[in-house]
Amino acid sequence: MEKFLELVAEVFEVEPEEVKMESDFREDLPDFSSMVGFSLLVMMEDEYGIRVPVEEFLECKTVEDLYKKCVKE
Amino acid sequence: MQVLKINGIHIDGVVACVPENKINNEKSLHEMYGDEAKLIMESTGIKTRYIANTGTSSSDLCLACAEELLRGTETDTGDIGAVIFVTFTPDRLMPFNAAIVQDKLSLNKEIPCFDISLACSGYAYGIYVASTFVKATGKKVLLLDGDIQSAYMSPYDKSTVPVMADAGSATLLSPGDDKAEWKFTFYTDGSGRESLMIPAAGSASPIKVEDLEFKVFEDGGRRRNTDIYMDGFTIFRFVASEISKWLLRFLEASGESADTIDSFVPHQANMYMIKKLGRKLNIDWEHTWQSGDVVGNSASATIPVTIAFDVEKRLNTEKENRVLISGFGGGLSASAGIITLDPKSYYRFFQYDGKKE
Repeated sequence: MEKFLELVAEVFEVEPEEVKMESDFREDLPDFSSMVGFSLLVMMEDEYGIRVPVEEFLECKTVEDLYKKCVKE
Repeated sequence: MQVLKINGIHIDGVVACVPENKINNEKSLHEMYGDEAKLIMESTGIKTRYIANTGTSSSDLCLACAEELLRGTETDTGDIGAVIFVTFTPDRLMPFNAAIVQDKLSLNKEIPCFDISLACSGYAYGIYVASTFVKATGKKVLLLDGDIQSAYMSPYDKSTVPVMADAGSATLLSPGDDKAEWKFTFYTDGSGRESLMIPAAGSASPIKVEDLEFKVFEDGGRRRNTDIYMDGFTIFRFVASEISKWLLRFLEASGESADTIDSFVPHQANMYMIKKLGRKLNIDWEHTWQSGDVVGNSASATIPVTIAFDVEKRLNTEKENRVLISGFGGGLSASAGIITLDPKSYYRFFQYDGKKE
């Protein structure tokens, strides 16, 4: 889980401490854009082997929503 | 991975031009997309781009560059042993653009002249192929690279309008010092061919009246079948995931690294993408040449345009510069080369001011 927060922090170019599971990645983290969205999708595929369809990504709101796509609990 | 090596080539000059119309993205995108415009612009980092007048062709722009290049390098047209024109938007589907260049520059008739159609990966291909013709002929080779993407763009398409632009360029290659070894590698994945395409008016789908009607597609884009369609995410993923790793392997296979390279001149797909790419290669932003934020994404011409545009700011004038060039996009296709740029060569960037009668 911590690793995921670190990877998200890397995409947003912020310190890992600034990223929480409950963070709304579009509103709470700086400079979200469609390119950043693409970067998140690429990160999830590269690191977790999960290809999240763009439509499903659009329904995700928090970092935790993204995490749940990558790691089956 | 195949690393193709060639030495004994010199770039005598690179001249590039942007066409007549400067578009301020903030203003023009706002007219179309309202408040979303600012987000789109910040996303891509492209603030202005240049679009040709209707009827200004790829050969018009490239010939203007070629004339300036021959003048600036004091090259006799008799010294040109081949003409290669990289474009996916030739003046006409037939004949090929290089024939126009042979005629308009009054070049020797007994020389090879041909076009290469590739899109964004075209310039490194062009440099490599031109280099082989320099070796084969022992003469200078004129490499032109330019596109009028606006001739194939829907004015309503959110994926292409904010980034795509037109430009032309000319590069002169000649036999040079054997010491500098250039290296190239190429990548093709045709399974991604529909991620960047013009669906109609080719032999697979001869043009029909309906192809000229605007339709709204599943992706929300409003286009004709004769307009460029780009699946932005697939291209992004191709570059960010596949090509970044491939370029690292190329550097390693070539015995090079961010430390041995003086400069990185990437295809200016959009500023966000190339910044991320540079980071993955451990090449800092200072050594990444840029022009896309000011002139837009003009397909394969972005590399020579960026060289001509950014040369004064980034070229080390004390020595020959070792430069990594890489283009990636439609095909899916990518090319990469490690070449040298001589500070004593002729570089010029200008704005084309229209056809002269």
